[in-house]
Amino acid sequence: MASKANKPKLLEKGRRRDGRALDELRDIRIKAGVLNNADGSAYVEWGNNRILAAVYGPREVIPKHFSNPNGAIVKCRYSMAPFSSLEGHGRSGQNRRSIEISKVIKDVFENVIILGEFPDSEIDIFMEVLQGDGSTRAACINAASVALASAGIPMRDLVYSVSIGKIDGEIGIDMDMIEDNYSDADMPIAVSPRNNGLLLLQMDGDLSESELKKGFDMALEAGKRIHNIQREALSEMYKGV
Amino acid sequence: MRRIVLPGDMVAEDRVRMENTYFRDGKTFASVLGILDDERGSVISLEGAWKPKSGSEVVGIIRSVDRKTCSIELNHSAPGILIPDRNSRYSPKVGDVVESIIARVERRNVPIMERARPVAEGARVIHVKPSKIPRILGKNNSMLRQIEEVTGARISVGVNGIIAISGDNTDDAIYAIRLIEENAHTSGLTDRVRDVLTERVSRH
Repeated sequence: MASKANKPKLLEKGRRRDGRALDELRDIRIKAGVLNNADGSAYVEWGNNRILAAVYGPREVIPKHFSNPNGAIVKCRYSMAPFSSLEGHGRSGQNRRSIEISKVIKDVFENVIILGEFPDSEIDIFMEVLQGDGSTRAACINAASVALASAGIPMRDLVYSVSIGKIDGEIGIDMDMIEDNYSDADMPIAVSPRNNGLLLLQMDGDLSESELKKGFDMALEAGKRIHNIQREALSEMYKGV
Repeated sequence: MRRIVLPGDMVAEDRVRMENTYFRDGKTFASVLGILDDERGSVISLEGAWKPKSGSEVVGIIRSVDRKTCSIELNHSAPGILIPDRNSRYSPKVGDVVESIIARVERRNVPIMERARPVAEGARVIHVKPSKIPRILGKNNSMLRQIEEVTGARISVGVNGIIAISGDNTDDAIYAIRLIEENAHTSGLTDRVRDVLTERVSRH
């Protein structure tokens, strides 16, 4: 487990353990429309993270008494596969952590999906972490965002997400698992790129106001790249238009 | 000019009323993955669920029959409700595949159906993406008529994404429909489908 006693050196000459700069993202690859049975889907490789997201709907609400005559309801399930990580996450099914992450991701998408167009129906988002290596909730939001767009669900924006962290006293983005475990602070955010509106902000640890600002600037800059990768993944589905 | 737009892309600098868009700060933004056609001023959705509209011709499967009404599965969040016409010779049975027309859409998005008639017995039913139906029908149903002519199949296309196929060469007809579904966003489809189909049918 992470403790001060066995903390590895996370920064050396401004470079991280894997050679990245502090404001550098891991390699990201996204493929949209990978599952035939789902209405929309996406597969994301983000560093060593492997995420599969599937979207169904709008469809009949089950159980029926959850239905809302004013708009669709969103159901979200984040889950880690039993073989996904070294720490044994996901070995016993849904737990406190995955229920919380499902809930915050649901809140993100409830704010961008135009729910009023589909009264009395539900939209299901499933995210499965096949291999986890830190910042999986950010990677899941990116995957779900592409999956929702590929399902043709009307949204106000294509959300992206990235994590901000503080390692060895320095602010950086996109923490991997070791950095996350030994970090001084870890803060995933989700952003609506049209107006840089914030849809998710959670924080473990402490950040000063100036550190927070610095982190946001880095994240918004990196977000442009994530957003472009998402766009390319979706355009790839319709090559030759 | 046609180009792909994604949710959140600006499609006009001012407020322009068109489908699949929304307004924010006096500007118009796309809300779906679609194709923006500058000349026609429209965003055509490339994916997405079907929304019932009155007057739509649909194909559905009868799921339950009560004393006065029956419900029809339509690939929608609520089943369609049909009140069978007493003068009609057709009495619905569970499992029947019917062509029908949406009379109106009630509160809570429940479609009310009328003029149901069964498709030919033994028809094969397939589901396609509702967003691809316009391409399967073609301009003035030209694509559909072409498939029927070349194969000799009888095809009922519902705009809800359910298609019933009966008659001859149903395999070839389904092959053609799947081909159109996969290549719906490309141009010159009618000719390509004709060539492929003629070749397949002549092989029998």
